[in-house]
Amino acid sequence: MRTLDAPLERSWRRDLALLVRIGGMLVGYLVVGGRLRRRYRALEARGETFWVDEEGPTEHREAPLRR
Amino acid sequence: MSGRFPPPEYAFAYRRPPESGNAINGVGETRRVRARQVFHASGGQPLAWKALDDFFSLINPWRVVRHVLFNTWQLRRSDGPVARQRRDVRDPSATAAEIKALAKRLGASLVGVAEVAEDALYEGREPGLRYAICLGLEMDHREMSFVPQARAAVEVMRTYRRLARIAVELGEAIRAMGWPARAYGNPNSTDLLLIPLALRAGLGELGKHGSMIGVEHGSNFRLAAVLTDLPLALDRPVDVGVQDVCLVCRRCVDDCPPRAILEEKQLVRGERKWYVDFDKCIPYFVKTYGCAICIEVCPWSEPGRGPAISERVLAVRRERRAATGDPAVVNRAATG
Repeated sequence: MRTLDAPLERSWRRDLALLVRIGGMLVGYLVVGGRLRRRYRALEARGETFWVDEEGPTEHREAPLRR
Repeated sequence: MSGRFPPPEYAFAYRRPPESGNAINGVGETRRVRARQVFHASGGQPLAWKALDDFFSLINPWRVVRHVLFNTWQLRRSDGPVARQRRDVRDPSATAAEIKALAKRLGASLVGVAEVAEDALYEGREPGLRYAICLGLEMDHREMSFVPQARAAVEVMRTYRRLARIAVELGEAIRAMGWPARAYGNPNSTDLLLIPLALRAGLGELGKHGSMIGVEHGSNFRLAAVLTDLPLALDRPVDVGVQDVCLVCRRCVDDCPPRAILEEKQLVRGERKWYVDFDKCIPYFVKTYGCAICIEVCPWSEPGRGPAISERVLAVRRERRAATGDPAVVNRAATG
């Protein structure tokens, strides 16, 4: 839980860090997502399959988690 | 009826499928254990269905995604400094009434208070606050009638964004009273299971389609919460007749294209309850940017119909009990 008594907890640094993160999300959606959406639509039009665990963004190509 | 919706055929799949989401969700588990995050999650824990979750995030149209980004930004105020001067609370009932009135003024459609219990927390999460102020906000029914198209997904995310603003402002008001509070308003990133909290807070009952059903808005609302230590009188779960109707109604079952809604209650983490087959539901959910067919076809979701259904079902139940002493249910005629 991050509720704290420190009065300066929500500082401009924290807001800036969040803004940078949102910027990253936006760039990811436009650049990585744009590429993914084009590839997915192309495969869909040809009746082929987009493999989400192999063709998704690089950082997400982890092995499936099994317990 | 389901012919009017896109078929459950997919141009995406896992080459190596992850563990079944139903197993992760604890279907068949007899012990009361905590839920594990499986899809839509927060905070650094490995997520079995992450690849599909990321794919979902990236194929959503911009008009949906922009609400997610704005929501993320406004949730920077979900937590913050607490006023040093703490207001004394002598009457938790009066305080709860005051907080509920404030939530309504901020725009919430539904408000209730519950204690944060184990069944509402994911494995490994400890929010450390005692009470949950559960908030519900009605969606625009006309926009939602476009399910499962992107237009309905936009309305869902717009509702979450408005609801998050309400939760944030309510949290700030509580912190100004000198009590810690944290707003939970992001459906994609939360430590909490909002439905168990909202059930305990009396916002409605669990329907066959795995979502809440309340009298005023049926299933046509979304949830958020503010957790706090501010002493508040607790609400109680409600019985408005939903179980009676769900036992005989098949509307969501018949209209669900991937046939994900189960006819019988399932044993899930030690509790027998309505459950939707995750492995069938989620691919369709992804394909249609959030689906929501089941919540919109639910008879309770039709504007103005819920109170009449509830009144009728409860009246039939009372008559049955009076006539036979049988506490059980009602026939289809009661549901219209």
